[in-house]
Amino acid sequence: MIQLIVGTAAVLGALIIMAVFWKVGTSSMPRDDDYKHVAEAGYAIRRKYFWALLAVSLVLFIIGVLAFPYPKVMEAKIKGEPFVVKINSKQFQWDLSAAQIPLGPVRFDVTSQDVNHGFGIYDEKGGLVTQSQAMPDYVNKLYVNFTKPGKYKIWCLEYCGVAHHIMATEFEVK
Amino acid sequence: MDISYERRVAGISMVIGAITIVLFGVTIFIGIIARTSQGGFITLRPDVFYEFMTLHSVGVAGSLMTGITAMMWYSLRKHLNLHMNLMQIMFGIIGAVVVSLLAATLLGFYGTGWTFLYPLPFKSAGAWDDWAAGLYLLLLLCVVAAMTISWGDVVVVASKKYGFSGAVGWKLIAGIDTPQTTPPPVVLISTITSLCGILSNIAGATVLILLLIHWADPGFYLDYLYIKNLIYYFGHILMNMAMYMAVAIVYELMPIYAKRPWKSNKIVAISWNAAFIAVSLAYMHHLLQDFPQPFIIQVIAVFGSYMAAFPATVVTVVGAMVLVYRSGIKWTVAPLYMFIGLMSWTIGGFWAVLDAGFNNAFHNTMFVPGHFHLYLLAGTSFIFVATLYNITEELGGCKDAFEDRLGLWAWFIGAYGVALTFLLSGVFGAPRRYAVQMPGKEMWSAFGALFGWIVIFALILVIGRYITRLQKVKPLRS
Ligand code: HEM
Ligand SMILES: [Cu+2]
Repeated sequence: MIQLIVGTAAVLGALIIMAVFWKVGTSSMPRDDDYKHVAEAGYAIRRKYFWALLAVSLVLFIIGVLAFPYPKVMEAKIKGEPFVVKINSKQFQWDLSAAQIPLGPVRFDVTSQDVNHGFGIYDEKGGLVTQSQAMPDYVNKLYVNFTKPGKYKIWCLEYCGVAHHIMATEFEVK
Repeated sequence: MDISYERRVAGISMVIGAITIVLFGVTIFIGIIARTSQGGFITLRPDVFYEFMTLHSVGVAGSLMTGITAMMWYSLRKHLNLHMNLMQIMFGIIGAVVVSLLAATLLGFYGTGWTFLYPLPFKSAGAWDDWAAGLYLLLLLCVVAAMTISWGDVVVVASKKYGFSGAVGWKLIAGIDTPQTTPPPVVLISTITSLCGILSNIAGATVLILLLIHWADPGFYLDYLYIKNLIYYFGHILMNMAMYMAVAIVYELMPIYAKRPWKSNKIVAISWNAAFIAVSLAYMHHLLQDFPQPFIIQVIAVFGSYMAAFPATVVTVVGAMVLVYRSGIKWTVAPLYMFIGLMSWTIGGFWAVLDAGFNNAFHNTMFVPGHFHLYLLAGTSFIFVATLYNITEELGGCKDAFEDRLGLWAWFIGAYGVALTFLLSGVFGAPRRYAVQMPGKEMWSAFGALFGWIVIFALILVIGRYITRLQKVKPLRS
């Protein structure tokens, strides 16, 4: 869902930027020799643009940080004890401490035995739900609140060698 | 400044331009083969795919970097007397790098992608040889050395002429504006950029040496998270440098076509110092999915990424727009490449900020190649090509032909198609660096490959025309 919203914004934003460049690029004629005058008009627009950019950035910044499944944020958000699943990984397979997971809050303790991997959870439709890195010597705590039962897939989201693209497995939420 | 010096720099840049654009074209071609395989038109064995991906990314980034560095010297030639012998040393090193890159990937099957995340180079699951990993790290160390030489020279020569605090704009910020201390924008930006690059090279050299020690003695312990931070500080900034050098060039060349001055002032100085800080903080967005990283660093990472948008758009892009608006500029291909280059930089940067802001949704998906292919393939490269056109205009008095415009628009369409198909497949969840796409996501790669072939068509035109135009340039030694 979030991907579709941001993706749409990405495309619309690109179109707006192109339109502005098109407008300015096609307004090069006729030459106005009073550059000072042109520049002052431009700088007046720039001031407005600066404040608009600041406002939009601040809003997106805050939404982004809060939407981010960082342990500190998620511990504040998630009520009750999460169900814990230990995830171990190695070239090129996933090892889960449970393949059946209850609905509700879950904490994945993700790590790796060899190189860096990426723990990406995909839903039945092939959409990315959430992810974290899997790094040797470290444990990534990834909180997820499952609200939809069904089969989920794990795909590797950090390049880990020749079979990276087939490093996948499944689990079920019910 | 000495005219014969200026001509020699222009001549050398012109030749380096020819070599690097050919290398650039060849390594883009390898990327297209990789994309064509992802699209299912041909089938590369996975190890070959990853080897091609590595060769493509290091080759393309390296040749563009080298080319744009030469173009930066070219645009600095009227202001700074850089050391030509250092330039030649730098290119000697780069030549050695090209040979060893070919050896490491084609003979040694080395394929970690350009990021060489520790400990992957040493744990290939049998795909590549140990010597290839060592050679790759060594060649990157040579790249670091070569870039440090050329950037160091810019900082030293600029500081000699304007004083260090003048060259990096601190005098301007403090309100001191004299001809002895205020450099033209191209010098200001090149100096700040070079300084930033040197700092990241220190990180790069550190990590490469540590990894080489580990390569020689596998018992040597390294902390994974620490190494990853160093790698991204180095890699992120190196990739951004190419674009910033390109933007410095635009500050020098665009005024020639718009017939208006683009001067350094307090705002320009503040903005490029802010850009320095933003790019140094923004590297951390590569580690947003590493939760052991302290929370405050994660927040700063996102903050730094948003911050990068301010100097870039508020000052540089708006500045360029004011420069051309009602300027009577004739849109010959050189300024057009530059203007579109700035546009792609803006769009690619906007996508990058979205990626940083909503990283959990996009990290390591095709969204990432989407954003950087746009600003590299339609941004930095466009400014590189614009400078090549400018050189042949300056030295050979060349005029545009139909093929020049055709090349430009074909490249434009191809590049935007390549980037957008990457980006959209990322929106629909396709992971990056998959030799074979996740089931159901192949279609995007197929379209991407088709657009890639349009880029090849454009490149043939652009390279062919550049070589034709070169022949009009009078012999260098006159
Ligand atoms: C027609 C033009 C191009 C095509 C079709 C193309 C194709 C590709 C493909 C298929 C990948 C692997 C994507 C993945 O699955 O992650 C890739 C990665 C990459 N490309 Fe390109 N590319 C093109 C131009 C460029 C240019 C101009 C640059 C830089 C100046 C560039 C730099 C890179 C880099 C840095 C990577 C990342 C490699 C990695 O993940 O380690 N590409 N490209
Ligand atoms: Cu992997």
